[in-house]
Order: sequence, then structure tokens, then C-alpha cells
Amino acid sequence: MLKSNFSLQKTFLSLMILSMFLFLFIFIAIPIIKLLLTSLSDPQGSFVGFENFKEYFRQGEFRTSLVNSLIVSFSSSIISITLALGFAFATTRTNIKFKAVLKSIAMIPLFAPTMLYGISLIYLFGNQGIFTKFFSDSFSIYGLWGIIIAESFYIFPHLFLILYVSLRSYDSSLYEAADMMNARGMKKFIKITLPSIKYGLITAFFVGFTLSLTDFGAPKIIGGRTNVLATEVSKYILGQQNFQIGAVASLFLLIPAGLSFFIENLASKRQKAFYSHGSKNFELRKNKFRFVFFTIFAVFISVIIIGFLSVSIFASVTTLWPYNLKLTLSNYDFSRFNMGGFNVWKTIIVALVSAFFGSIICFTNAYLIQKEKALLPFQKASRLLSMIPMALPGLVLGISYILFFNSPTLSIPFTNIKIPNALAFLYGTPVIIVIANIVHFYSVPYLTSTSALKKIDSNFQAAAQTMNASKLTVFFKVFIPISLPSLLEIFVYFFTNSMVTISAVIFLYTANFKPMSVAIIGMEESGNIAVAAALSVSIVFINIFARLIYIGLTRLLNIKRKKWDKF
Amino acid sequence: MKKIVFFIMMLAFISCSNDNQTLIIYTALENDIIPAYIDDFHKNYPEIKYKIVRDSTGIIASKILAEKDNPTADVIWGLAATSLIQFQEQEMLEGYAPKGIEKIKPQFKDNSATPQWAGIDAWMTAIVVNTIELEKRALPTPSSYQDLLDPRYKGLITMPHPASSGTGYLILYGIFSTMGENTWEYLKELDKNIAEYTHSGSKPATSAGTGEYPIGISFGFRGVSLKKMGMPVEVIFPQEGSGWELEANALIKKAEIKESAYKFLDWAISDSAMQLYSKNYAIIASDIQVENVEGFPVDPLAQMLNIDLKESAGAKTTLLSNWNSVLKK
Amino acid sequence: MMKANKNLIQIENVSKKYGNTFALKNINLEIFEGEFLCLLGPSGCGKSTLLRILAGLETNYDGKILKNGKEIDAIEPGKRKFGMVFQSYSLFPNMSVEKNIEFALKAFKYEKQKINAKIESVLELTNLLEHRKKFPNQLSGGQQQRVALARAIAPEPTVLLLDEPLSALDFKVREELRQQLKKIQRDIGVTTIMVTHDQEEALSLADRVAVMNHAELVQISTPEEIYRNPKSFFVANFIGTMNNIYNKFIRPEDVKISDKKGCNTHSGIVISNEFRGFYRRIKLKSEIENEKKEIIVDIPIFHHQDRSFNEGESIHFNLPQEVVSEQIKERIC
Ligand SMILES: Nc1ncnc2c1ncn2[C@@H]1O[C@H](COP(=O)(O)OP(=O)(O)O)[C@@H](O)[C@H]1O
Ligand SMILES: [Mg+2]
Repeated sequence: MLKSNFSLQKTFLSLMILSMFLFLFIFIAIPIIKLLLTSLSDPQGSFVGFENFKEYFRQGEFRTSLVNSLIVSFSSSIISITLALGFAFATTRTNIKFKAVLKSIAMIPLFAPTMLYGISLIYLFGNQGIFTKFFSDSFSIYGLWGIIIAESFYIFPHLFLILYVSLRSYDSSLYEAADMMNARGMKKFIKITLPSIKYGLITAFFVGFTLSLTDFGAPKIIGGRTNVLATEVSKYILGQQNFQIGAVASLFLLIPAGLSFFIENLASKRQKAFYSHGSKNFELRKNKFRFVFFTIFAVFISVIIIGFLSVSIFASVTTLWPYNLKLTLSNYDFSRFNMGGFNVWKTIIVALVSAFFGSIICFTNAYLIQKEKALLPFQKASRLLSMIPMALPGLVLGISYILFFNSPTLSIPFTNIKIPNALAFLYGTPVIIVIANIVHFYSVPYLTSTSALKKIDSNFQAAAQTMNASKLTVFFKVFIPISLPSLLEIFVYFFTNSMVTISAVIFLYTANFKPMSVAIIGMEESGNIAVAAALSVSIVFINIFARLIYIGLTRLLNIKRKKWDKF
Repeated sequence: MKKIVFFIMMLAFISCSNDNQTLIIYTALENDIIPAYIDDFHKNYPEIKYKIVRDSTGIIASKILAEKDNPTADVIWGLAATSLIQFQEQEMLEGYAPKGIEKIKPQFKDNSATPQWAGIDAWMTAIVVNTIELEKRALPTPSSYQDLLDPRYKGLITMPHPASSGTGYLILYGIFSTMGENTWEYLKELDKNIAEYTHSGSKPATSAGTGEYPIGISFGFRGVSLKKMGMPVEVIFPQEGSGWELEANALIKKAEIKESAYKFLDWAISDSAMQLYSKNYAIIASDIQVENVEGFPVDPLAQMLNIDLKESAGAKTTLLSNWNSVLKK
Repeated sequence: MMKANKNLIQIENVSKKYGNTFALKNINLEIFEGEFLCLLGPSGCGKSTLLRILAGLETNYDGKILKNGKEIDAIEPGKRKFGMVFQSYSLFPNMSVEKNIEFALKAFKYEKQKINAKIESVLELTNLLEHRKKFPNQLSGGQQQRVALARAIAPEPTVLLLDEPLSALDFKVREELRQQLKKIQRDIGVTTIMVTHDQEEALSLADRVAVMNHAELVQISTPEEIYRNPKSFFVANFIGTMNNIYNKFIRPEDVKISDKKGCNTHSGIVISNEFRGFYRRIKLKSEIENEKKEIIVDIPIFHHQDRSFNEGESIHFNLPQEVVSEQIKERIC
């Protein structure tokens, strides 16, 4: 028997849960369904079964691309995990100096569009590259190795962050026990450290795998004759405007990514047990060897990262590389290219709006899923949907958005029923770009919000209810203030990613607004590599600036919260 | 305070949207040359508000196709005719004979009763070579497709992938129309020298410009503009003749066609516009008298192979699948 | 102990299921005005669920809750005016002690002028005046729980619901707070229902104890009655330790060590010997009922100081005369 105390509050709560679910369903599930249907139809939209698949296998370079993709994703994940683990270890478990600075340096690759690594790699190791003459004649950066290096770079900060959190958040008592048992150095690392961050490592591997599998920026620039799955997609969609086979290729991109998502999901479930142990602060012992080794290692990695950025800065101020190395600032005079249609301020505004609504939607949704019980099936469905974007390549997202939001009517599969698409009006507006940004980068902030919320006593709402306080009041007066640091973090995450993303928005930008990142592609293509570098570098600095504001705000906030915040 | 910031942010955000009156022009013309043209349009029609969406041919064509059921664009300006023919087949275009259409040469416009597209300029495939790099290696400058088979060029040549890039297909069709069935034998040989099949049509030219790969099969305009930027390149139009592509305009079929769209299409093939185009392209579509463009052959029309664009578009599927089976390892 | 026998809350046939398992099964219980009732039972037996139903936090259950004879099932938690305290304190960490209390008072729409006075008085009652400006994080567990209590009683609730309020605290703090809790409850006379799994706590605090097991109410009585006359072995064993000898319940402290053999004296072999502060717990293996019968004996620490009770040692013990069954008597004497 259901007691009939259905109040306004409960109705409101259910409505919120429902609308959040609808948001995710419409903007994540339906476009994927649309993509699936496209892969099974001919250009006129009639159902053709698996014809497109057969066609793809017949003419595509499916098998080699698949193998290449697997090699790239696997190797770059392994390489990057090794380096990221070393770096994370150095910044959590050793006494090396300037940890905060090192940590910030590790984040730099996150601030740049993937094009930047491509440009830097070519300037360094391309056929005309600065270092190329030191290698043998047969050396070429173009191909598998080039892609692997670029992807390792691209995924490094993501993996570093995951491993950093894992290493920091697990209980040091195991270590103390090991110290008492006189375990030493490497043995301690293999026997204790690695198993204790097992799930962090698994998560890192799959995040790295998915990211490098779905990226098409780096292979496009540095891939040479090597095809990967992501370039296949762009070949069909951009080269031949064959959406049907493009959709088929996209689906293949989703399978391994989807698989890794499930395994990763499993791993993160288990990891929870680890996080929930309170983590004591680590007593760092003096160890000279460790200090020297990790100082060298951390400096080495930092030099590489800063080196890459510097090469791009250099690229952006040279007149005509490699034949005229006179320095110039003219490449930063973007007004020359106003017909490129991009606008720095509008780019920042759209990134800010994406970050603003992204944080609100993400946090609210995480709250509703985590802390409320009103429409359980919908909450569960929302939780599942929230993890999908992690495995969704931007290119696929962009295409499915264009296919879905631009149809004035929608036909329901296997019937003749057509319904008007109520959301078609969004197409061609910056709203769709904001939504694409929010959805594209949804999963990580969702996980951040969830773990922030997990630390909050689950009885707050119950306690407040018995005090006659509305859930809304508690949400705004307690949950939001407590989670403010995480909210800020989510905000910059959305902002930074919205600034650098290319793949999804390249299809969605409007006549009135073209993001800077998208303009890079056109510049690079027409040979204005210096301008492309200048745009990339500007984005990096905008992001660094945003990061500095973030750090400043966090400091201020921490001073204010010092009295009551445990963390 | 917070509210004001938020409000300003929203206002700025809204300014990113389009309104209904504005004429939306989709174009694949080059970024750097659009301003000069569009200023002329603005001078002639100061009252028309317009917005330009410019991107590479592939992206613009994909956008238009994906937007098929609910077009955003009003007119297409300077997009590869091959794409326009594809749109024409899918009945996405509206016929319109702009003022002065009779001046456009017959091979440069759609010959339906009411033409569905009208060309503005044509560009040709060309071999772009880096003079410094070739000199360094003491290699001769190639002057024909046949020359490119020289084994000393191994690993020095790039060309666009015909499945990824319109230019790539143009090159393939150009070769096919001169070599016929020998095409495949030739391509197999050429493949031994090719370092990379790029995803974009410009890339081989820019790679040649920076010396990454000293020889790039690309298109003339790109090579010439790189040369103007100061890159040490030479643009060579192969002896066998060049494949070519037309850049053309069309009216998009949609429920409400704006008056300004017609005006724009009229302007886009007007004499004054053509004069401006001719500063950048060797071949313009209308038969008015223009000056020769530096870097191009004196008689560019003679360099052009005798190609029917519709036939070229029709052969695409077959040629691409042949390409795949011949070059598959 | 009870001030009045007026019936305040009546729980009628309340059942609650999670999936296919009962969290509560046909609970019937009356709560008298002003009494201190403890819900006692092992973890997972449904105590918290019952408390949450009383608070109005669970809505999906069978049966009825009456207050002063009127059904309150459809009334929202806030409108019931029941104060509640959780094991985890549930203090808002971003608000100071007085802000936490103010939050509750404001939510109950206390007039502004009265709020300060009220805060003052509950802080005084809970001995927290000096901490009023502090944040929860700056307080010890015991202090935090007192703040939670202050926050719950500030709006003058008709019933105070406490869900294992002392369980998270250290032993000493728990003892101390237990005294304070009892005193505060007496001072303001609020009807109190406290959930606990700690029998000692229940016995020392409650006017009446309601013992629950497996979603069911198994016995409800005064602490003394429960201790002395448990209705089942479960209750008996849950309230302290109990020997079951021929279906008679015998407390370990009622088994006496004797030096010599006699009537009603049995022998056994020591299998373990634990020092427990003021007493010593010895487990014996004896043949009293069957060959491997284990008997637990508690010996005050000052008794038999001369003996060591080593493992394997054979000793003699007496069972209380009045509870020894006929069977045993016959066999021994
Ligand atoms: N939200 C819930 N969903 C499913 N089962 C629950 C839920 N809450 C409690 N239970 C189950 O109901 C039983 C009683 O729980 P609870 O009242 O919390 O026990 P106690 O407070 O006595 O330890 C337990 O078996 C518990 O697992
Ligand atoms: Mg409980």
C-alpha cells in the first residue's frame, strides 16, 4: 500500500528525475539509435538490412584499420600508463620539490587541441624536423609510431589524474606494515603499490584505450599511410559524404570503446571499496636514491611536455618554416582571417556557457541519481546513460547530432509513422554546440560529482525533512556549498574541453559562430601552419589562464572553508 | 553582480544565433580570398544581411547533405560541381538562371532548361615541387605524370586519397581520362613512390611547400598561393593535361527562398565578380576578357583535359572500388 | 518510571517489504507519552526501518501509525514535528553549531525574536554554550552528537527519534553521553524512541525495551523484566549471555564454582579462560546434558583468587537450585 502523502515536493522531485533522464535519453541515446538506423538504411532512408556492412567489408580497409587501431590504442595506453604512473608516484610518494608546479605541467597536454601535438611532432621529427638529421635515413615519424607518440601525449594527463587520485586515496597503513616487515624499494612497489591501485590502473588503461581509439586528429596529421578506424570514418563522411557506410564504420568504433566502458565500469565499481577507506596522510621517509631518481624522471617528462609546447610557440612566431625563420607576431593577428568566421570572444563565451550549464546539469543529475529515491528505474537508466559518452567518439557524436536534430520529422523504425521532431529548432543554433559539449564531456564530471557526493552523509535530506526543510533548501544550502570545490573543478573541465574540442563541433558550428579550435583545421590545411600553431597556442594560454583563475578561486575558497572543510 | 555577468554572457551567447532575415551562404572558397569578393557584393547590395559558413569542400558538402531535410543554407557559393551534381541527383537544388548566365561557357554550367548550377571558376590538378629540396637531392623537376614513376622519387611524393578528398578523385579521374585502362598499371607503379595518401587535397601541396615531402600532386591554386606566401615551390602542370574541377553556385531547394538569394546568385556570376575571381584563378567560367594569372599556363584552357563533370561524378563508385582492389596490399 | 500512562503513538500491524524480504512484519506497539522506549535488536532486524516509518521518511508500507488516535501516515515528516538524530550526526558541516540549530528553527518558522533565546537554551541544556560558534569538524564526536541532539530538540518536537545515536562513539564518551541523554530527556520530558543494538545501553536508558529479531517484535517489557524473564532464548542470549541447560536459561554469573563435590555439583573441563576486567569468563566442557555441552561461567575477579583455571583443568560447579530441573537432580543425587 502506498501512503498517499504525495506532496508538491515529491512531484517536483519526480519531475526533475524524469527531465534529467529525458535530457540524457534524447541527447545520448536517440542520436546513437539514429546512427544505428542510418547504418541499416540507404541514402533515401529505406531499410536495407546489412547491405552497408557488406559494402564496407568489400571496399573498406577495415581489417588493416582495425589492427592498426588496436596496436595504437594498446601501445599508447601502455606507454602513457607507465609514464603517468611514474609521474604520479613522484608527485605523491616521494620528497621531490615543486610538486604543485610539476602537477600543473602534467596537465598542459589537456589544454591543447590534438593538432598541436601533430604540429610539434612534425617540427621536431618530421622529414624537415629539428632532430631528424640525427636519425638514420629510413627514419620517419609518419605512421604507427607517430600516432602512438601523439596519442600517448594526448592521453597522458587523463591517466596521470586517475593514477594520482588512486595513489593518494589509498590507505598508507599497508605501507607502514610493509616497512615493519622490512620490504624494500622495487619489491614494495610491485607487491604493495601496484595491487593497491589495481583498479586505478585498469580504469586508466581503458580510458587511455578509448581516448586514443576514437581520436582522429593525430592520425590525420601524422598517420602517413597508416589508416586507423577513426580516419576511416572521416574518409567516408567527409571524403565521400557517404553517411551510411560512415555510420557503419562509426559503429565499429563504438564496439571496442563500449566494451572497454563495461570493463572499466566494473573496475570502478570495485574501486569504490578502496576509496572508502579513509586515507591517512602519508609519512614520507627520506630516501636519497628515490629522491634523485624521481627528480630526474619528473624533470625529464616536464621538459618533454614544455618542449612540445615551446615548439608550437616557436612554430607560431616563425615567418615561414623551415626556410625563413625570422620571428614575427603577425600570425597572431587573427583579424586577417575574419572570414575564417571564428571569433575568440564568442569561443570563450560558448565555452563558458557550456561549462555553466554542464556543471549544473551534471551535478544535479549526479545528486538525483546518488541521493534520491523517487523513480528508481529512471535513476538507474540515467546512471547507465551517464557513462556512455566516455566511449562516444566526438566525430560520431557530431554526425549523429546532425542526422537527428536536422530531421524535421522522425520515422519510427519498422513502421510508417512519422512524428514531427520537436527539437529540430535547436539545429543551427549555438545551443546545439553547448549541448554537444556537455554530452561529449559528460562522463568524467559525472564521476567527479558522484565521488564528491559520496563523501556527503546520506542522511542530510532525511534529517532536514524531519526539520520541515524542503529538499531544495538543503540542496542549495548544504550540498552546493559543500561541493563547491568539485563544482569549480567540473566547470574548468567543461570549459577547457569545450575550448579544445574539434571533432563533434566541426559539424555543428553555425554561420554566426565558429570556434577557434575548428578554425585550426582550415588553417593547417591551407598551409598556414604558423597560424594554426598560433591558434593552438592561444587556446593553450586561454586554458592556462582559466586554470590560474581556478587555482586562485580554489585558494580563496579553501581559506574560507578552512574552518569546516576536512578535505 | 553575478546576475549581471550571467545576463551579459547570455546576451553574447544569443548573438551567436542566426536570425531569419540573414542570407546564409555556404562556401568552400578559400578563407583568404573571400573578403575581397564579398566586399564587392556588399557594395552592390548594402541592404542585404548575410552570413558565410566556410569550410573545406568535404565538410561543407557533408553539412549540406546532412541538412538535406531541413536546409540551413540559402545558397551555395563556389563549391565543387561534383558535389553539386550529387545534390542535383538527390533533388536538393532549385533551378535558377541568374542574370548573365549566357556568358558562362557551356561546359561550365548545368545544361538543364533552367540551370541548377553555374560555375565561377575552374581549378586544375598540378604537381607542386619544392625546388630547394630537389636541388639538395640533385633530382630533376618532373614535368609529367610519367616522370613521377622515376624510382629516385621513391618516398618523396604525396597525393590526396581519392576516397578521402575531392581533389584526390579529380586527380584519379584526370589520369583515367588520359590513360584509360592503363591507369591501374600506372597507379600501381606510382604507388611505389608515394609516401602518403593524404586526407585533404591541399596537404600534398603544403607538404611540398615545407619540404616535408618535396613533390605533391595537388591543385594549381594551392601551389601558386604557397608560392606567393614565399615557399620555394614550383607549380607544374603535367604534360598529359590536367584534370579539373569547377567551383559553382547553386540555389538550395527549401520552402521559403529569399529574394536576396537570387540577388546574390546574380552578383556571383556578374562581370565585376568574375574580374575579381580572375585575380586568383587562371580559368573563370564566363567568357569575358581577363588578364592572365601569374603562375598558370598562358592558355589554361588548353591544359584542361576534355572532361564531362557528370560522367566524372557517375564513374566515382566504380573507380574508387577499382582503386581499392588495385592498391590493397 | 513513566510519568503518565497516556498512549501517544500507536503502531498497528505495520509491515514493510524490500523486494521479497520483510524488513518489518506485523509490528504492533504502543508508545506512552513521556516514556523512553528502546528498540533493541541485532543489526538488520528492521529497527531503523521502523523508526524511519515513524518519522515519515518511508511511505511505502502496510498498516497504520496513529498519534493521539489519529492516523498520521499521510502527514509529511516535517509536519509531524518529530525530532530525529542519526548515528552519523548528520550535522551540516558548512554551518556553525548555532547555524545548524537556527536552520531547524527557521524551517519550522520560528519567529525571529524567539530563535536566539531558543538556541541559547538548548545549548545550555546540552552543555555546548562555549562551542556555539564552532563548526562540526572542530568538535569531538560526543560534542557533535550533542549538537545533533540540540538541533533535534530545539523545535520542541512531540517525539524524539534517535537512531543509534551513541554507536559511533568511544566507550567512555558513550557512557558519559548516555547519562546526559537520560537527564535531558527527563528534564524536557519528551517522548523518546531510541534504536540501539547495544543491550547495555538499552537496559540502562529505557523505561521499556522492545526487542526485535528478523523483522518481528519479540518482547516488550521493562529492562528488569526482560533481563530476568526473557521469553525466548534469543532474547535471553541477546540481553547478555545465557546458558541453556535442559531448556532452562541460566546466566553465567549464576553458575558458581565449588571446591568439592556435592549434591547438584557437576564437573567439567576448562576450555578457555578470559580475563574481562571485573570478572573472568570461563568456558567449560561438561557432560551435563550431552557429552559436549559447553557451559559459560562468570567469576567475579575477587573470588577464587587462589585458583588459576588453566585450560584442561578439571573443576566443579553448582547450578542455581531453583532453576535446576528434575532431570538433573535425579541423575546427580
Ligand atoms: N533501501 C533499502 N532497500 C533494500 N533493503 C533495505 C533497504 N533499507 C533497509 N533494507 C533491509 O531491510 C532490513 C532492515 O534494515 P534496517 O531497518 O536498516 O535494520 P537495522 O536498523 O535494524 O539494522 C535489512 O535487511 C536491510 O538490508
Ligand atoms: Mg540501523
